[in-house]
Amino acid sequence: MDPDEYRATYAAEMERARARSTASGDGPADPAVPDLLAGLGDRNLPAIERQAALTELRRQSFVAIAFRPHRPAYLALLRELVDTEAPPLLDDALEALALERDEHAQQVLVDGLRDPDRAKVGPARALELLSQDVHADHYDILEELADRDDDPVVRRLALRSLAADGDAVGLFQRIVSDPAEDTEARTISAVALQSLDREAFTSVAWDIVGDEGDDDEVRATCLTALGVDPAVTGGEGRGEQVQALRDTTSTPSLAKAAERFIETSPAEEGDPA
Amino acid sequence: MTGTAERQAIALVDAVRADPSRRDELVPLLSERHPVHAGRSTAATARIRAWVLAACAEVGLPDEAVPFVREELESGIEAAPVAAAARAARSRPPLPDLEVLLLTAFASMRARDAPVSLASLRPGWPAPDATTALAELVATARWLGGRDDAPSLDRAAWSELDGSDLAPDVRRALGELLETVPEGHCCGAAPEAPTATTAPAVGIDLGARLEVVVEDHAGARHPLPDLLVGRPTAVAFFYTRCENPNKCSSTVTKLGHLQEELARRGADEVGLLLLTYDPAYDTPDRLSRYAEGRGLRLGGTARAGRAVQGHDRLDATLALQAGSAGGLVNRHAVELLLVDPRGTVAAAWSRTRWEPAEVADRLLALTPVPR
Repeated sequence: MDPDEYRATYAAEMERARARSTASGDGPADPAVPDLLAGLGDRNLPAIERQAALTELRRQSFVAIAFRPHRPAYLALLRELVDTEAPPLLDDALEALALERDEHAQQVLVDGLRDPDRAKVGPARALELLSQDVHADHYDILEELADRDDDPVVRRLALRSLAADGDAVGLFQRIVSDPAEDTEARTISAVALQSLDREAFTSVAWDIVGDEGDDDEVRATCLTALGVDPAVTGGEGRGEQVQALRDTTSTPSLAKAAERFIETSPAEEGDPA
Repeated sequence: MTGTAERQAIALVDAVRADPSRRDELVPLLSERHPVHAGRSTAATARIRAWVLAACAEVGLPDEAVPFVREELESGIEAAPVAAAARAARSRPPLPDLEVLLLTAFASMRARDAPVSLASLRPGWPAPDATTALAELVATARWLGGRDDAPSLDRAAWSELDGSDLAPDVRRALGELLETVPEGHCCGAAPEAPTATTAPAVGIDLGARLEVVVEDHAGARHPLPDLLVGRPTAVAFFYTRCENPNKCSSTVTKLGHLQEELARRGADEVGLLLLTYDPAYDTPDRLSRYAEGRGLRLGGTARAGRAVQGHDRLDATLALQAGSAGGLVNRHAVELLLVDPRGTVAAAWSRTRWEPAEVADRLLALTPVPR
């Protein structure tokens, strides 16, 4: 390529980037923001005033262009609060940083999950905040928590976060297939399994749907998921099976899922009208 | 930071800081394949890379680390490694196209700037050495402008960057920079365009019995050699969950432009193959939607696919520049291979932009196997 053409290519890209950055209006920053930052950072102020400053700053941060000049100072202050403050200011700062997918906040949360003595928030809260970033750094801990934690809330949060992890297919298969498992854990696992491995899900799901002794809520979730997958025809006799299910179940959610499946699935030869 | 790999990395960086003649030993730490990055989040691996690049800035940037610096400035979107790359660029003679790289990085980071501390791997806050990516980019521009061995800065380009959306310290630094560039000064000699690199993949025979099966965007399965042997093929790597618009989204869009360029030249028999780093997640449906949503028309000799068998083998054979945490890619380079009709990798672009017109030239120069 001719060097002048190369330079022109970059110049054009820079121009487009500049246009994008000012497209929403290059308006002036809110003059109150520096005062709010100063207030938030002032340890001599009552905590309630500092929290109010943080709440307003978080609101202002959504006005992206106008807030942009203050963003580095804002993030630096939030990190300082995470390292030095106590709840509730600590929690608010962690949440604000987690929404920014800030690495410092993620590391603090992961450290706390690995070593409860260093935890700044409880495991459920840590998982909730880490779930803001699918690329966050805690998949090994998630599997441990999903597999063994005694707290059902923590388990469910861990399972939801693992839904992006292709290595967790085996875990989801095991949980969704086990009638002794927590119902919500099974439904979360069913949805995750369908997203990660459609074939594995379809096989397990039909077994569950056909098991009258299994949990009806889990059966309904599986049937609903099967019904929205255009690749699922069910195979011979499935339509009849689902119609029978619709006609005999006393569980409204299961009946509804069956009805929806029948409406959306292609008719099989020999299906009753 | 825990783990053997991390402790070893810390020890190595400390040793190199104490003995800068060992600077070349830092380079492997920058690769996505290094164990220090395995299992780390995207943000954590960015921080590690920034820390290593900052060490390079102290001891002198090794030659083999230059592609990593170029890559961060060209396509990086995380503040810490971009800041560190800008700083590292000041530790050796200026790169020929450094000004363009700095301006490109400034555009990328304008809406993404964040505070950065490069003094340690796990900085506490407040950090006494806190800086930002934009501040480091302007500092490097100022350094560049003061060099006798570099062209004059393009005053107009830097002047246009000013705006009320910039932090006060960045605006101040820009103003100080412009005071050092006299009015009427423009660029010196235009830089050479980037071209194919000497990536490790060059020379590798993918047409041999490499047991890799690719499922394409239509759900059809093919042994990989069947997709390559018999025609020159451009093979690009990507994944649909990439969050860096300067990488995968741009790569696929440019592949569409390459397709248009080849059609314009009447090159019907050139193959285009888009392979995912994330075969567990990137199903045929996801591959199709991603590619076609970016203007790449799939069908005929243009395919998107995932290795449903042998992905690890392909990864090892090509030494793909991608790392993972759990089942997710945590970081990857821009990678484009040109494969000749025998199935051998003839050229590669790794960690650098590629332009459709030049790639088309190189593809068409690869001689097809006589029928």
